[in-house]
Amino acid sequence: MSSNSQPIATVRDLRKSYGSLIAVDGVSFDIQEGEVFGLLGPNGAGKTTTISILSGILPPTSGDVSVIGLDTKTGGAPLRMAIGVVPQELAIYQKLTGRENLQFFGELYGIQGAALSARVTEMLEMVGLTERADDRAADYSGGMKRRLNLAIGLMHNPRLLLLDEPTVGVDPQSRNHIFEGVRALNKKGLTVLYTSHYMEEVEALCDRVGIMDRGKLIACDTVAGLIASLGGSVIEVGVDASEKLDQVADRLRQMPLIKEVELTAAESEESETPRVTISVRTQQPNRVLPPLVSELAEVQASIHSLNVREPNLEDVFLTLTGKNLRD
Amino acid sequence: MRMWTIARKDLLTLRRDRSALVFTFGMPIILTFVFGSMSGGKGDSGSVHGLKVLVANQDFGARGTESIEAMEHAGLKAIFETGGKEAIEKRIAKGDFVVGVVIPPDFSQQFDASLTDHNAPHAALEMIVDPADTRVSGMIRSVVAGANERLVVSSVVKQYPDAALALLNRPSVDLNVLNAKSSELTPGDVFLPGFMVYFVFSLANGVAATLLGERQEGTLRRMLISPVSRAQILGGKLLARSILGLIQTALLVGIGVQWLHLSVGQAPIGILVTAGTTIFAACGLGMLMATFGKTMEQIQGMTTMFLLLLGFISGTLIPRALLPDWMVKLSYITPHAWALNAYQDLIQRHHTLVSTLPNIAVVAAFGIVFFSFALARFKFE
Ligand SMILES: Nc1ncnc2c1ncn2[C@@H]1O[C@H](COP(=O)(O)OP(=O)(O)OP(=O)(O)O)[C@@H](O)[C@H]1O
Ligand SMILES: [Mg+2]
Repeated sequence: MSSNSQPIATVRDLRKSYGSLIAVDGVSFDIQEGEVFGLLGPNGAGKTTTISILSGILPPTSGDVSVIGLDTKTGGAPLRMAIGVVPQELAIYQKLTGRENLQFFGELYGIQGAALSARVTEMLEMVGLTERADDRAADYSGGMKRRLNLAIGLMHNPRLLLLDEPTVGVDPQSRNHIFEGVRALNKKGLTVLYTSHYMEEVEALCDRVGIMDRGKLIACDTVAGLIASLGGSVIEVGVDASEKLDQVADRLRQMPLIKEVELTAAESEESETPRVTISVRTQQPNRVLPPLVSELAEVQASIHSLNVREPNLEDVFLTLTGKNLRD
Repeated sequence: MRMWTIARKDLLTLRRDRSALVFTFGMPIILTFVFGSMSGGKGDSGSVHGLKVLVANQDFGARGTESIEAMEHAGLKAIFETGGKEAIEKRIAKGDFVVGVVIPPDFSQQFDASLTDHNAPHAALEMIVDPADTRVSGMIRSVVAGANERLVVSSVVKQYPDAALALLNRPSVDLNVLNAKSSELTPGDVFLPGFMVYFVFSLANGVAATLLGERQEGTLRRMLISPVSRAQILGGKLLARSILGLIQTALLVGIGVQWLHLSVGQAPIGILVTAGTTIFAACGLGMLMATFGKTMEQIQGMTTMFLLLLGFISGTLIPRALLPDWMVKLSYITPHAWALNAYQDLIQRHHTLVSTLPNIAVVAAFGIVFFSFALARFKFE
């Protein structure tokens, strides 16, 4: 939201090593009060480790991490009350009902009596589990379990919510529930740290995004800022798959105006032959298009679609890390 | 308060875990009934071959030695004790032996007198038995009596062939069992204490399972993130298991009193204290077991075997008197054995809580050691 408010969390030169493996390697960033801060990174980048340290259960090897002005190593109960965590892996009691799960964790945070049942009702409503509240969590669908996982983290009305891939492996309906729930809470003032593999979610939800790779924070800016830093356009050409496309890509990469070429297998319903999308990033699409088309004509590739678009976060990610987000 | 929240959640979870319920309550109850009906006959069957009997032979004549020979002939093994009755009583109280026989100084004299004079008092042996061990000591008793009977008959036949027939119908050696209270022991008294110990210790598996399970499921981490301390989390979990253990013990005692004539006597508080301490040690053992694997699946087989092994060598599943000597000694490396001592003191020997406190203290010490190692080793993360 606003960028000139107080940081609710600060991370300074954070390092965490497991033996010789460095999971987090000198990361610094702030999370502003009221914003949704996105943390993106391929598998093993160190996102979960960073979240664990922020939540106070994992001690850093070195560096300073504080939330609401309290050091996470010594912050104690006030710090814990201020933070809500939604872990990447489900952490719910399968043998308890949704309602019992919420009640239990609410009580751990000191909520009792009428306030507790009111809060439970409210949370069930928010994640759309009211009708299934008294069924055991074991009988929930994957998406419903995820929603319960989210609701538990919100029970005590934290100021900072740490969301570790809350929508991974979730049906669109549940994803929407979670997504809209977080957006609504943010509107009411909740600060959120959000990690996700879904680019659209991050683009739509996050005010600022940090990109992590191999323990390092390699970029940190607003979504618009990150995209602007990349610049140019992306040309996407859909063609039938062929062995010769690799040579075409290699030749395209030689061209000075082209920054990046990528081949991805594309799903297609109407055709039986597999298709490939060639993505080419360039500052000058007008000058790149003609040679691109003639290269394709030379290998007799049949073009099905052609599209010129602005780069998105996915392209930023690819450029910075050399990896696809959803590998 | 938070501890109770955690305990309540654990109990709720347990209530929905059918296999855990069957294991915690069903098994002990069924086995109690099975054993109860088995030993209902109170039969003196079984072999005493090779069993040791402490013998103090104070007899001035030769009959004492002959009596011992007769007993050995019957399969018993005499271990000589020169310290007399007191020494025998001490060693039996310690649990090293289950039966002792004192052959009094005038044994030969009385024996021979009774052979010729029908009105003379019978020669008498004094027998001291471990009240906690009726089954075995009862068997030995009949063997000792039988052996001396044969001694009488053979002596009579040897010396007074014509008087033999007249003597055959009456015993000439009396067996005076000194602590006769023992004969009042009921089947419940005999095997229930062992069960009360063994099954409480099998709670250890559940403790390990809940700790590893919650860590694996991520719910332990969730609790750690909340404003509760590790001590509260552990305390809550142990509280739940303690309640479970107390219910289990109460059930066994209840069944014992109702159907197996268990004599709780003046001991209800003693039993409660022993049960509580045993549960504490069992929880410590469970937490320690949890440090030997990442998941319950990894250690389940091992821990089940281990607990069973402890049950056997501790004398909680098999009466200690049936165990070979070295295993009786070995049994004291288990916390079970000490807890069993305490229950046997309270239920079978009708001791007071205070007099069996040393046993309870050892059980508590086991618990403290288990917890110290477990807390140092257990990774909450
Ligand atoms: N407890 C641990 N012991 C050893 N190594 C660990 C531990 N936890 C994490 N790591 C390592 O630290 C690195 C960062 O892991 P982390 O879980 O933070 O990545 P991530 O960005 O969350 O990845 P993902 O997108 O797959 O969730 C990985 O190489 C991982 O193997
Ligand atoms: Mg992760």
